[in-house]
Amino acid sequence: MAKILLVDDDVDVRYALGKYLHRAGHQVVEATDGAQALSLMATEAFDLVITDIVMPEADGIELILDIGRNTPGLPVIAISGGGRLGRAEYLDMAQGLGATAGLAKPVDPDELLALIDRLLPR
Amino acid sequence: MKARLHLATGAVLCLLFATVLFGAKAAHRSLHANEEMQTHIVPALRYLEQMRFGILRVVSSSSELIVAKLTQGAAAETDEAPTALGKAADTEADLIHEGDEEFRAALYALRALYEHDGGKVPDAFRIEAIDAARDRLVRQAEHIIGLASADAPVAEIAAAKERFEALEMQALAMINLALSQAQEAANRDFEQTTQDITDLRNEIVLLGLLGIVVMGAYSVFLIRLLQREADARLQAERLALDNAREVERRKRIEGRLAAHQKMEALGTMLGGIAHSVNNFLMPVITLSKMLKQDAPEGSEQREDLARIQASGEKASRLLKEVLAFSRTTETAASGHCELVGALRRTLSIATATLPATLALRPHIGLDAAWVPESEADIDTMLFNLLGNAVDAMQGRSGEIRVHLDRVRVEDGLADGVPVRLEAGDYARLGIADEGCGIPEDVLDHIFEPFFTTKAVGKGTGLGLSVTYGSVSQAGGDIVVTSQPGVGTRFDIFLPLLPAPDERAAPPAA
Repeated sequence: MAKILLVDDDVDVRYALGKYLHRAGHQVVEATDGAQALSLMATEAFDLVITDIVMPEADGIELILDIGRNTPGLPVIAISGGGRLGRAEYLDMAQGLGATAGLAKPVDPDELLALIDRLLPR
Repeated sequence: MKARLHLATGAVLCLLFATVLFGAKAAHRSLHANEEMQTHIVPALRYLEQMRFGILRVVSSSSELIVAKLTQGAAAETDEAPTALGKAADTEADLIHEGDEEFRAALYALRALYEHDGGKVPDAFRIEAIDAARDRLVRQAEHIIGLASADAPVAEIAAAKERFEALEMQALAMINLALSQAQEAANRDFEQTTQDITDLRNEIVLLGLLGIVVMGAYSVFLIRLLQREADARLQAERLALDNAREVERRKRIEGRLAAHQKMEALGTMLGGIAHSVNNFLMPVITLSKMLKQDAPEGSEQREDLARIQASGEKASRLLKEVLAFSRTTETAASGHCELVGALRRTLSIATATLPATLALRPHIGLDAAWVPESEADIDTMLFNLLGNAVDAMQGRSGEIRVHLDRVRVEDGLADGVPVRLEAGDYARLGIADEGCGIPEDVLDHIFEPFFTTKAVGKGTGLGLSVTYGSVSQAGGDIVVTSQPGVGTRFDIFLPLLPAPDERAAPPAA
């Protein structure tokens, strides 16, 4: 299936989504923030990135911008539970900056799977 | 200033009064003196007349006796003659003395009158001289009587009588002169007095006029003073009223600002909470869904997992509404729609679903109004507000009035109502019910999330919060006026956008 980089500072989100995606047949690599994701991406290639936006270290926005610069064409799904701004605003922003799609937390895992299927190159 | 003016007016009035009093007294005294003189002079002349009459009687009696003696020539008869003559002379002498006494009394009274008034007897009057003449006259009269008594020769008596008449002429001339002089003096005095009185009257008139002028000026001044004082007081009252209004307006704006800040803080906090809870819900929903797939079909375990998943999703929906509120003013509005069309659609649905006891009275004063709200947000807002209006009626019959018009906001006022808005043109959507109204202590909290006065299960307490969040985000404001027992009116102000065809086409990328 696909090799997916899952970036979220919340361990439970990583655990739950990771497990769900894994059961669906995907290979999942986890990162806790944008900085760790970038260092992983420097050594490994991924088919798709799922990233949270609001994170303590380098956030999802930075990651999206970096991907846009260094690996253009790599699908990125932004997920957000909101924060100082609403979820919709973060997701709009992320897509404006280059994310391929956006999903609001709590994400429906089946919806996520369907989205991944759509985005992955056949 | 006021006291000095009172003093001046008082002084003028006192002067006026004193002058009148003094003038009246002087006039009275002058008239009185003239009157006195007249009363004393006239008796003096009368007594002089009486005296002369006495003398004439003596002379004529003497003459008659003498003529009789000469005619009869009888010695015997002559014995009686001296006695009869002497008796007649005695009677006449008494009469003369009586007249003389009164004459003198009149003279002395006249002199006393002059001297009493502190003046001296006028020279022209010559009282001393008149007195001397009187004395000579009396002595001559006595001489005549003596001659008559002594049976003196007729020629001698006649000569004495001639001398008496000469003296009498002299005295009369003197008295007449004195009288005319006195009369003249009295006339002069009277004229002077009249002149004085005339002068005085003129002065009084002048003073009166002066007094009227002073009083008039004073009245004008006093009226002006009172007017100025009243004006100043009115001005002060007006200023105080303006200040009170300004303070009231500021208080209302500050109150609204404070409420708005509170809502913002609340929104930020709720946003933070929602972010965490959304994360917490991720494993709940994802893992329950995953485990449910593993659980055997129809098993109790699968049922339980379905419940966990459903609860997670319910919590998720609730958070979505909370987040709608927390999107307050920080982000630019993304959507826009035409309010009039949206309102008409919502009203037609609402009319169909409204209880028969309620009448919907729309008054739409605009043809089109583009506002920075998505159509979904407008629908939510309208249904929330109409729903609240229906609930407020509590089953009673009545009207719900919906009003839409355009209003201009300047200096934080829309039609005199304080609003938290930039200057500009706004669509004003009013929804007014005739329901139970909102108590003042509740009014401050109606936009707070989860605040509800409805029965448990009837409302989430998020309807107005969502409306508030959506309107704030669009750069609008909500004003609520409510009177318990009378009704509630919500006025929603939304900035008017140019119609899409009027907007400049976006520059090509």
